[in-house]
Amino acid sequence: MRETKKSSNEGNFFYQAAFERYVGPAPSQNERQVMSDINDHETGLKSGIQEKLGRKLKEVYADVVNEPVPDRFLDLLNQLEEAEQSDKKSD
Amino acid sequence: MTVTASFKTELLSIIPNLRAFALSLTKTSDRADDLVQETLMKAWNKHHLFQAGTNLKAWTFTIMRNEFYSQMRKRGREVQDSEGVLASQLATHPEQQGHMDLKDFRDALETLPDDQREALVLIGANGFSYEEAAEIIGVAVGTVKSRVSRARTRLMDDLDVEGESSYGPDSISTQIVGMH
Repeated sequence: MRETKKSSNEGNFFYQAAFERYVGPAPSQNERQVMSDINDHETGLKSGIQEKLGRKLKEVYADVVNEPVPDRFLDLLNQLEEAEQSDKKSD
Repeated sequence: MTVTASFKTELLSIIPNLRAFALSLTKTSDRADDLVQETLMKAWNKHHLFQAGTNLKAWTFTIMRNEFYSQMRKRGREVQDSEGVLASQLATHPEQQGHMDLKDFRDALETLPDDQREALVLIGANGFSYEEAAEIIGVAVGTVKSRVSRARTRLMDDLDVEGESSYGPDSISTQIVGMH
């Protein structure tokens, strides 16, 4: 995020001067750009890490997710379906 | 109301995800598949409660989670004793090793508090939104967000993870040094 400082030098001069005495000179355009780059860098770093963790997490469960569905579950669903159909017939 | 063929087909298609989620809850593969079986039966019997067009995956995950925790309450604390089993239950492929070691990652995942791991698995491995995960777990969206964030922070600390080298500190420090 870029820091936009609208009250630049031509604004409230006395306020600006007091402010600078208190916290030091306002950052120059160049300094602000660098701060902004650092923030962008941190955001990028964060999303890079999240992506990396996400990939690892998927990898942990990849084996079981990629395995074909075991027969016991196919059989189960077929049985449930058959049971329901025979229930209907007996109605 | 009859169970439509599409319900069965859709249920079949999410079995792999159900098995993975079951494994993240139970941590042992035989228990996981028993939990999947219970879940499928419950989902089938309750299918008249399912609103077509809504998220079947989230719905069945909710059923599974409720089933798991009610079993756990029945069995007492026994389920808690399976620490460190996830790593040994999941086969390791040599080609998956390298950059960040998968085994280290599993170990770190294993040591996360259950609520944090659950939130992370729902968001990171299953691609649920924060809202969907909140619905499944039965907590506020903000709670899910903070659990996921704490889980990530802890994993990063445990694993000493840093960003990709392309994001490394060099480009920035160069800029700072070359600033004036």
